Amino acid sequence: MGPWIYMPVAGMSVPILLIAGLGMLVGFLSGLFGVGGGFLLTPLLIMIGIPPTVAAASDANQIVAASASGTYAHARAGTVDFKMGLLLLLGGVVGGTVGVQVVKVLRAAGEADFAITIVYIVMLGGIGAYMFRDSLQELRGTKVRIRASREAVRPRVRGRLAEKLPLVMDFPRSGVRFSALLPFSLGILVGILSAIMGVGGGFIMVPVMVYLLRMPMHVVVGTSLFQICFTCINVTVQQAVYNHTVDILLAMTLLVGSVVGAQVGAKVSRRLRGEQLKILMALLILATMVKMLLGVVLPPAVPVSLAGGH
Amino acid sequence: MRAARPFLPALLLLPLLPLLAVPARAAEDGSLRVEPREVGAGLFYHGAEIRMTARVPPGETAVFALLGPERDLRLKIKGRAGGILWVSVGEARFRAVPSVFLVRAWPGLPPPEALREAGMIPESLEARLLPAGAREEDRTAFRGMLRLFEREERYGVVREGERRGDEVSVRFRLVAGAPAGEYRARLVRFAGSRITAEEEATLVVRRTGLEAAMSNLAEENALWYGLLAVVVALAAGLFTGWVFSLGKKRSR
Repeated sequence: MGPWIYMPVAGMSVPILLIAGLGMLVGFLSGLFGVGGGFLLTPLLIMIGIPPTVAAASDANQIVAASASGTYAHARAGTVDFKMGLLLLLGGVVGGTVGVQVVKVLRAAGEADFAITIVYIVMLGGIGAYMFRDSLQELRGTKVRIRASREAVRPRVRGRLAEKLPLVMDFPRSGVRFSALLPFSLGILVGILSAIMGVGGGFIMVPVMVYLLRMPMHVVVGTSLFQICFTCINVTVQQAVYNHTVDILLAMTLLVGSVVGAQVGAKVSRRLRGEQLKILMALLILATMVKMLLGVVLPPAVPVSLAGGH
Repeated sequence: MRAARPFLPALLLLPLLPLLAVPARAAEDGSLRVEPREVGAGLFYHGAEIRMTARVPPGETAVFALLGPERDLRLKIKGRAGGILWVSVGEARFRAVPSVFLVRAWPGLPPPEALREAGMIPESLEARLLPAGAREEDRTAFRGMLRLFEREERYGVVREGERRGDEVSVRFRLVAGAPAGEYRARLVRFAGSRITAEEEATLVVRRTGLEAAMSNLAEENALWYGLLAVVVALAAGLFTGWVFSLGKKRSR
């Protein structure tokens, strides 16, 4: 397994190649499918024995690194809607702060690991099932029709929301106008997820920005990265201060693997058929979910656990 | 001459005085050796091997124990909720539990009762941690704790060792997750069920280098640690972005 590295906050030693390899695998899938990958990395870390609270907090730290260069590149290219980004970020800071305090309370009660596992089972089940169905539809060629019918419904929903909410304002960079409460609320949701699950939240933010907020795609990616980067900075600092669960060594070892994997994945994605790979990704997510589900459904090998870890 | 008489019995007892200063069953030769006496747990630490050696007369059984720093524990007891999920259904707290309790016995194990009485098996903690009238929940938690630590290889009793001349050596594998601090090395010699000698020594597990610096920073200056984590991540992210942008420029 190669050399081992001692993770001071996780309180365990792990093979460097295993951690870097996990980072590489998730980075590869990220590059292949254009997803962040945080939602897959945290459960994989939990599965190899990293305490869930440490896995989530360190993953948030790793996301800071992974999103930093992208945010910088988009800011230079002028594809970040800073007005929108700041509202998202404001929500992200509020949500992240709430999320960290939720984790703190759950840790004190000795239930944080269980809660994180349950949230992941629900989320991975949802994402995996959605991706599986989506890629099946793509393979059968039925997706275009379904999407067209949904497109007809969405503007009306968004229009009603935008009319009812106060604080309506213009976002010139994106060319849209709606209530500031929409991006603020989205930021809160993503901030909470970031703190509890160690995810960037791009898998929620991007579709919402595209379909609900009607932002142009070239601005969506940059603005989403901007929000993810700064929300994860806030979550990293707060997790370190209140929960002592950020392991820099774990985060950096993951980063080394994930940046290499992402580059390889991006190159491979140009040569392969997306729908079939998407089904494989969906199956991987569902398999991870099933593994975690079995962990809470099957009788445990030991009928006790340490509250708060060692 | 008369005044000196009361001191005469006392003078006769003088050679016996050292026996009053040490425990009755202490080893007569102080032969227990622990190697190494100090373990440095650095960045690439993956546990350590501890060797204990002592003189053991023929016909006696030697039981060695390695005991880790004591800690207060809070244990969650798992049970089924709604017939589906295994969740926490109760809680138990134990004070001053050894973080490590590894036992090696050579050439065989003395009777369990003798080991329990000598405090040389993890089960002997029961007398201290579970007072008379303890809740059934606490008893379940205690049994679960022993199993949990056995699975983590922190607790365990193994019949093992090797004799060279008049000495017996045993080896302990200290897992990487075992905490830093002062460890107790104990030797109890048995003749059947009877204790013939006891010895004790210490060893220290110390975090060292970058690993120690980061542990201390994370615990004692959490804000600075958090900011450092962010700065390192930003620098690493921007650096890797720059490296890959160079690669792209060259490929063009």
